[in-house]
Amino acid sequence: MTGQDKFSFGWWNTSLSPRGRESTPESVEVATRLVEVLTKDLQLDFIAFGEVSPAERKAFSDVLGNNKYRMLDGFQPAGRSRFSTLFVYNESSVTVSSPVSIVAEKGGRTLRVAQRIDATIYGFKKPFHIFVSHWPSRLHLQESAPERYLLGVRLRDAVDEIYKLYNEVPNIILIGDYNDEPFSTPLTEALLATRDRLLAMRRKHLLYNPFWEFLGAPCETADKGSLRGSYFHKQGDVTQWRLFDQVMVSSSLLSGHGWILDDDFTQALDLPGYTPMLSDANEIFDHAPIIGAVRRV
Amino acid sequence: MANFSKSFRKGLSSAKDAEANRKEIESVFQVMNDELCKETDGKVRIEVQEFDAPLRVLDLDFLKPRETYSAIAAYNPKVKESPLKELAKWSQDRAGYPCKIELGNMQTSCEDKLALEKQLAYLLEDPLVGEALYKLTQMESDEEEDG
Repeated sequence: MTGQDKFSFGWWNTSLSPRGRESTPESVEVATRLVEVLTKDLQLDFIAFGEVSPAERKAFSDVLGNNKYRMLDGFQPAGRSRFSTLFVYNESSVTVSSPVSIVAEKGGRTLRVAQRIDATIYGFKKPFHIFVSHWPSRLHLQESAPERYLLGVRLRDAVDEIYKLYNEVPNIILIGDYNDEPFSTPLTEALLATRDRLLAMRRKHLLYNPFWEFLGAPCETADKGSLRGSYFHKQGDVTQWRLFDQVMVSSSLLSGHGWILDDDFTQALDLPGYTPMLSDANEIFDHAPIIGAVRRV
Repeated sequence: MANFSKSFRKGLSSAKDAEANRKEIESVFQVMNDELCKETDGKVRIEVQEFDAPLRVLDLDFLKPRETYSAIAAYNPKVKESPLKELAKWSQDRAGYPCKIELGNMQTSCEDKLALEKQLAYLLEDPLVGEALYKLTQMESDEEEDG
């Protein structure tokens, strides 16, 4: 896998430091094993880790060692909360810009919309504009709250600003934990992310969400250990498996020239040693890592 | 069939709302400037100003109008040739809100008056902004020189 014919990326909500709480050595050990999977085994070019604090940075750094991976802090205060993202990238394949934090303030509340990083593959001029989001949980912002729709509107505004910089459709990747499903209106109506790949190829302003494919994942087996979404809501009354972690891409990455979405690679990662922890009430982990890639055509 | 009368009435109503929003935004700047005036003996004023965008190599087309952008800027009204210090990039919706402030690596959409007040206060607390404002307060005013 070289950075020149493939650009691979990932997101994992680590659950290590929600709202600044400290992680335990045991959970950090699990997390560092996943860092190894994403970097050494899968060799992703760009990864965003959510709910990380500077305290875990050292442990992640020790795992990455002195190899080709570099870390970039995305820790930034935003109102009474903060962005808690740690970015890791393969410096032998890609250069990245400093993260820009995008927030919306409404009614005394600070909404963390996204962090944007521009990644450029060596040998190519047109960058990938990556928007990494971790929207509030439904516990802190109800599913029907207007602010949730506003998050989608403001993320769309940020995407549109990138569109304005180009005469053609830019390479845009959105990734993160939206605490909304692919069919939720903030993603479909506000952000304009569609399940319909052919429509996205025709209507260039639409974003394509490949994660629709993973809704209602295998229920025919009684195997409790397999992945049926990206997030397990332990207190869920009606639904426990949710698909809150998703990837969306601009239509330039669907066909034709340049780069094209690798559907086979794009998925929530079902790791036999880790997935069972998501539904284990004694574990802090509740999100699976998700990955995606675009290939040179 | 289009109902132009209804659209027209809606447009008038939107224009009223937008005007009220713009006045509200101006009032927030006015309150901030009144307080800064007291604090600095009238040596700092903050306004939204237009700046020329830097020329890119590909833009060397003399027939093209120069691109501009809006920014929150400060100057010393007591100095005739006061430098205009750019503090943060600014953009505003046609309806008044949201207004967007870009400070360092943070872009904030202010959706209401409370948000704008909070962000302007945050702007004043920024160390680079503080330094720029301090320099303005240290300039010799023309009135003092004349006196």
